Amino acid sequence: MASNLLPSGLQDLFTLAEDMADGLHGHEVAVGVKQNTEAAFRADLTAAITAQTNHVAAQTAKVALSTAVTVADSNGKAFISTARNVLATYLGNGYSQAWDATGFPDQSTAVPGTQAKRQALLQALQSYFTATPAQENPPLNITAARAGQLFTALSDARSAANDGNTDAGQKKNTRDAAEKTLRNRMSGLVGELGQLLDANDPLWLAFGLNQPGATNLPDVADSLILTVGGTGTVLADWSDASRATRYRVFKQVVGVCYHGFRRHRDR
Amino acid sequence: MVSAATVTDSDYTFTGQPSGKTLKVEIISANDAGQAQPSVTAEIVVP
Repeated sequence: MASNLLPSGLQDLFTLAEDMADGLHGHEVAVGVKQNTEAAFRADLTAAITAQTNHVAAQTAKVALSTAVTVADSNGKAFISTARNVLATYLGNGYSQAWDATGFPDQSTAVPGTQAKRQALLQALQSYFTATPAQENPPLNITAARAGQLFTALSDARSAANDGNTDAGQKKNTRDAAEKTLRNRMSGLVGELGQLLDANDPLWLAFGLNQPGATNLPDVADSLILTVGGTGTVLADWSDASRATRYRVFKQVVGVCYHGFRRHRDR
Repeated sequence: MVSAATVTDSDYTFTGQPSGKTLKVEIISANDAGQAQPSVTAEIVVP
């Protein structure tokens, strides 16, 4: 017996839902559908498609925002590295207490290993160079103003990325809920049709569904047409058969004896 | 009838057939559940 399991993939689900909605458009009244009408069905389908579109857009935006964080952080790293070299001429190469005022963390003059510490250091360097402008190096763009710019850029980028992650998560939840609603609607329509249509009624097909009473075997291939091509060439073309996933092609040249003769009905 | 090929599209090209002979063709649709009955046989004289 043929089943009407819903597709697991969203695109296939939306395609089937569109077919079902079209079936409702043409046959809702004649069949007597009352619970899962075209209006209700299309509302759920549109909501699900919109939610999926919004989710994909949010995912795309999330990637772009993450890239922006990487760029801002990279710029910050470069500044910190150069600033360290500039400050070394005043404070010495290795760490000493004199470095504490600069904000370099963990009693080290190395570029901090985490993004959070690098962001904090940029803000600390802004304060440090503001307090000690003599140690700025404008030709190398090692200034309080530049440190402030980079801190703000990184902070804003991280904030935007966090917002993007939140938005993507919310959009996913909305999409999942809309998908669940649509699936319930589709299952509901299959159930309602089951009460209204005979299991072998061809009207099932108008909704893009299988006839529950039909076999799972494919339909017979029909409309087979042969056309001559070039010398020794013949083109065969036929109509797609429902539920067929492949076609076995058989031939016989009249007057030619085939060794190893095999009838096609031997399955 | 002998098997010529198994295809997924609904068309097939026979090549190298003997010119002037009559070629008969049948198609059997299939899926994982099994096979349908053969199509109506079509025939043509090979060019």
